[in-house]
Amino acid sequence: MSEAEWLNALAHRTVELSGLVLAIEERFDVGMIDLRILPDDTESLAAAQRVLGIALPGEARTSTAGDGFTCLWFSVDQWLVTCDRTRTQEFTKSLSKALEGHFASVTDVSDMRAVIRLTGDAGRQVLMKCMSIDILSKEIRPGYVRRVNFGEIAGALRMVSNEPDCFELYVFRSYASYALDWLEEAARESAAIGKPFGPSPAPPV
Amino acid sequence: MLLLICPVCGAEGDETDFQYGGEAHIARPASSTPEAVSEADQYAYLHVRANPKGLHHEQWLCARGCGKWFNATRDTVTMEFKAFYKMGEKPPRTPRTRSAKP
Amino acid sequence: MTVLPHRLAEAALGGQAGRLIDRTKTIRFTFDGKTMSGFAGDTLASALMANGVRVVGRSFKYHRPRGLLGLGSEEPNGLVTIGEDNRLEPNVRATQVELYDGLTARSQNRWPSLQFDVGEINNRFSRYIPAGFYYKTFMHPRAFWKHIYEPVIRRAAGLGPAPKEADPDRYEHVHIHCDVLVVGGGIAGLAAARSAMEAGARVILADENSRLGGVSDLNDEKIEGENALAWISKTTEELAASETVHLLTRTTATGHFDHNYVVMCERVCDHDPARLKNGAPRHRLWKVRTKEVVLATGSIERPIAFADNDKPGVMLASAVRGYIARYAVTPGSAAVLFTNNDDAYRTFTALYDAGVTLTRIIDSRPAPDSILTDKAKALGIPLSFGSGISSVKTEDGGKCIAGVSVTSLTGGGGLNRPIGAECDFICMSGGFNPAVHLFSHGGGKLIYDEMLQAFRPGETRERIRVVGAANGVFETAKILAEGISAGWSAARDALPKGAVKGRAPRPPKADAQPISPSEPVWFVPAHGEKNEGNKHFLDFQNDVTVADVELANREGYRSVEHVKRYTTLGMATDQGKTSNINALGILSEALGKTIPEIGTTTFRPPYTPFSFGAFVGPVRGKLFQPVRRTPVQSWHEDMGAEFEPIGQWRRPYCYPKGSERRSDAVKREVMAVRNAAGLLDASTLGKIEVRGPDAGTFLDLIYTNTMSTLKVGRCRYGLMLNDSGFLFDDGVTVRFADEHFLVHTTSGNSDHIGGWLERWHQTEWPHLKVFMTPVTEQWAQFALAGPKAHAVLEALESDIDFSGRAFPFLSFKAGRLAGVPVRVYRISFSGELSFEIATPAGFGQYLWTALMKAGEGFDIAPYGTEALHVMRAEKGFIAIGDETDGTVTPLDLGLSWAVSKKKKDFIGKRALELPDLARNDRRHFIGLLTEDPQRVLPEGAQAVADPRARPPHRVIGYVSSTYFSPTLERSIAFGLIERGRERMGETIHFAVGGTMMPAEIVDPVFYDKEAERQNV
Repeated sequence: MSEAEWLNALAHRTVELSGLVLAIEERFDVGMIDLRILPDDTESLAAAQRVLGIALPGEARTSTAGDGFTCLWFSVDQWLVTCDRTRTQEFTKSLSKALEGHFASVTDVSDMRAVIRLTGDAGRQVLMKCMSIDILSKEIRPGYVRRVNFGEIAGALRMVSNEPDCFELYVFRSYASYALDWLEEAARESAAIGKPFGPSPAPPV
Repeated sequence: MLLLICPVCGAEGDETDFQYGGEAHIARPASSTPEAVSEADQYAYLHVRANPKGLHHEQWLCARGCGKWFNATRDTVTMEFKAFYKMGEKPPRTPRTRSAKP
Repeated sequence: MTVLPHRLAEAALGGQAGRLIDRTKTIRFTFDGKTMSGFAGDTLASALMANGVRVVGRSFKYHRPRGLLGLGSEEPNGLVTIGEDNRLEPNVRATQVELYDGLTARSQNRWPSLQFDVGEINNRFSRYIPAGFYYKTFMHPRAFWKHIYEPVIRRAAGLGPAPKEADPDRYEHVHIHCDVLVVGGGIAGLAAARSAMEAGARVILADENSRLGGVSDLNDEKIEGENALAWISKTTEELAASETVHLLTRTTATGHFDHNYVVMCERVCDHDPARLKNGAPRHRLWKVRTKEVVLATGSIERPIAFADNDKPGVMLASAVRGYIARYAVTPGSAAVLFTNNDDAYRTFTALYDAGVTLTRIIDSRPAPDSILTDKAKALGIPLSFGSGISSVKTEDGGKCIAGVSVTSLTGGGGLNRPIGAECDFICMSGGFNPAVHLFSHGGGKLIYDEMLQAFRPGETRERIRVVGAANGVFETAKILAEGISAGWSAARDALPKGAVKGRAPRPPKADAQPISPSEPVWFVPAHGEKNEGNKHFLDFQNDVTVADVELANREGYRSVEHVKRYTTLGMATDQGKTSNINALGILSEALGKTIPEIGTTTFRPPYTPFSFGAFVGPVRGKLFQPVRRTPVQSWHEDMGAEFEPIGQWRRPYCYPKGSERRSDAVKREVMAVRNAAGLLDASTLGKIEVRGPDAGTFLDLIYTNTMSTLKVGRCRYGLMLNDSGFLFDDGVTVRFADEHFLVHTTSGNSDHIGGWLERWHQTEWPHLKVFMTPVTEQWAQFALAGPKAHAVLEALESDIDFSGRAFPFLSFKAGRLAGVPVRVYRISFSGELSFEIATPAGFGQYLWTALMKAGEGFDIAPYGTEALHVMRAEKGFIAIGDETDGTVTPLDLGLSWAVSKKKKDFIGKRALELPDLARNDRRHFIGLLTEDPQRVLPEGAQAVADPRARPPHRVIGYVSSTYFSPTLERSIAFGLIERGRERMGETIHFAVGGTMMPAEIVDPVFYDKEAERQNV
């Protein structure tokens, strides 16, 4: 019997980057764990912290990074822990064990979402065509996480780093192809909107 | 395109990031006294809703945010939101609408 | 002898005419097939005038020849069709078309030509087709409605032709936020934007024109001692260089919506269509969320309602001086000016300086007195005060003006001898209306200003400030002061408390021009003939006259809302920009009420029309709707599956082989499952993990069944009701552990039920300790069904014992299969031996392929949703959406075995006890066998109480599911029929295509009644 083959969400697509102002690629080495703990359950939160070595972010729309993983705030009682795919089982096991007997939930959801990484200076301008949040705001810095409407679907946005700006978009797996279609349309060079709120040639009078 | 602010997570967004849930503070009769719910009470619970010209307390879901339901007080004439408050809380007192002169 | 419009010589106006054109760059275009040329910087309107074109179209109803009236977006007459084939766009205002090489334009609403239009016959019969005539005509004979009246009216209706081919261009939407949005780039807007910028706000400034500066270049204004253009240029440059300002030109703010959401349409490529080839978007819709809005949208000049005020050559006074100053074109060589205010006198000086003869200035005011009137006197221009134009003389079949008659307006008995004045065009000005449209969209109240005789902005609930002419302020110094102050305070209110320190900058010095007041002149009586015969136009685009408003009045339509709709005044694409206030003036005189008492109708978006493309943005073609793909989608596509939409999924309906018809494929697939093995992609079904000490308690409230008694490792089919007692979903719940369940839902409801569970938990039972995690997309899931299912599984490596003893019906096991982790549920919708196998989505395609390969030796076939539906129907299983329609209860469906009698409460329990749901004469779920076994009842066919009665029949139910069953080699169907369960064996009749189709009521389980096959 052949070796079991694991396919990423966009395995059936080639991302054609020419003519785009942004580098778009799927990250399929990402493991994801859905973690639920009530916000006032200090014991369970402490148990999770002992496993992860860092506190889960308590502030909305933030993320914290630890050794080999990142915790994304998804709700007052929900986090998405991302890690290298090869370590998902390890983290799922250790979190489940630490929270045994507690009212908490640990679910491996690594296959549920596709992760699309967008890199380039034009990142924010492209995202202005994808979501209605104030993407140009200074509040959006590396570590920022926000669940959004992406085009017409549910998604989550994370700012990974800057210089150049690097964002990750999380969408449910079945919508990955649609999300890529939307991004390819929005990121066309011929449709670039330039930097809003920045110096530009003065219009005639 | 209404603008809402979730009182649970603080997310500010267009109404398309949220979901409207109808009138708030309606008690489900069967939840408290399942064996003694009159027809009239059940009917009212299912079908009768206030339709005020003015302040309306209503439920909203932070659908593209924290996924939590909350309450809001909205003026149905001016569409102004007077208050956002958590599920389980009572509506706060809100000031009258002041109209702004340009 | 009329002189046509023409281009002024370069030396005219001391070389100052035609500021915007570049005479070194010639541009070629065509109008009605004729090649013409203009200069870079021309609009189509100015280029047409330069080429001597006076008539640009025919009016809507009367087909009267029309010329240009205005300069910009207020233009009601100059609507042309631009482009061809798939880029054809009708009803474009020629005044807003920037000329480019190769542009093709055509006039509208005329046949066979603009000069000779057959439709002009309407004008001759105009007495019989006043406003509202269609409410009194086209009634008899009835037979004419469909085949004569409708086609003729359709052909006559509308102005420009609709394109017949799909729009090939791309459009997009962009979301942007700011602190202060300034609409309008004239001096008011520029002042506001600049001070907001200085206060530290993020500012967006948008103007509908390609240039900033508004109408300052037409008003001879001086700022800081210099021509206003210098200040405008300097300010524009400062704004453009800023890091916090976004400037948009060619961008119309088209609507204001709740909480300061403003939608703006940018015409990106209309002036430069060559860019479209490279995929640039043609239009871009900016969706702006701003904290504060400053409206600096200027004002719109009013026509005056005198007889024949629509003749080609009658133009708004400020527009005429605009054509001279910007494009060096004049509408003719001899003009008459008719005004009620001082502003129009600026046009007289522009004309005079350009060498155009003014044969008379007519001022409706009895004694106007200003520097400009003095200048006119000094130059010896004939003046008539307290007078008005009482008739217009024309030549060339009404297409050219030859002169006017002027009569006194100030009474004086019957001896008003008219004076004649020769001219070939007329400049009219009835005053200025502040452009308050966006303010009104936001519900702002308008107040009538007696001084202006116009409405200006009053109170608003939104955070909007209005400045400049839009606020009824016309003096330069005041405009600048107001703009600066508004920009500063808007920034202060938008930014966090205390962020803006200090005071607004001091306004620059500007000339104050003394203006003498204007006086209203709503109607100028015609000279001589009856008023109905003379056309005093109010709404040029919809051909509505003063007589029409008076007629509406006489017929009892007295409120402004009724007058608008009865006459269609203000309902054309210009939304009454040049007609609304004049109409109110007429109404006011007719009703004897003041204008404020009459009120206005509501302005609504869009401010000016914009393209469907901009409205749609990117949401078309493959982005029209999100299409979801299962983990095995590519395999289905490669196999040539036919798909059906289930929500946003595309599920295989069947897999036709070769040239098989769909019905044959379905039959083959059913037989494959019944006789051997089949594989179905069930990944789309909803899956939700429910965990916590109160998980069982919570599920007991959600389902009609008692899930808390489900044993670990077992599965139970559950029903979900809404609190009105109606069934809306069903599915199998699995118990993994004491505090861990998995809920399955139908594909169409998967997202909805995730929300349903959360809502009930959060709003009704938040004290219950339970977490819900949707995992629909985490797992690929397949149904392997058929007598050989077990054998197929045995052919693959696994640590699971699939034998009947070890793995009973309605149980669950987890383990590995073919090298991948799996969860396996022994459940069946087909009625055969069946295993639903779930594996993480990334392994889906691999496992599917492995199962198909393992099944090769057993004649396995993939089967689709239709085969599945046929098989479940053969087994008497209901399907959500077929047997449910929002009004069906489990008792109706004979499923009371699934409804707990012991539970004190669950969603829908109390409702089921209400009289209407507990009635015994409701429609029951039953099976139907047609008399002719080869005939299939149509889905939704209605059953009648008595087939021999005369229509209308009493309907007693309908067909909810219907198929041809290959297993039974005959048709089968389900129905919801009144008292169905009491009528077993009875034959009832269905109304089908004009005949009655008989069918017998039977038990809905048609096959394997003892359910032996799924239980092996």
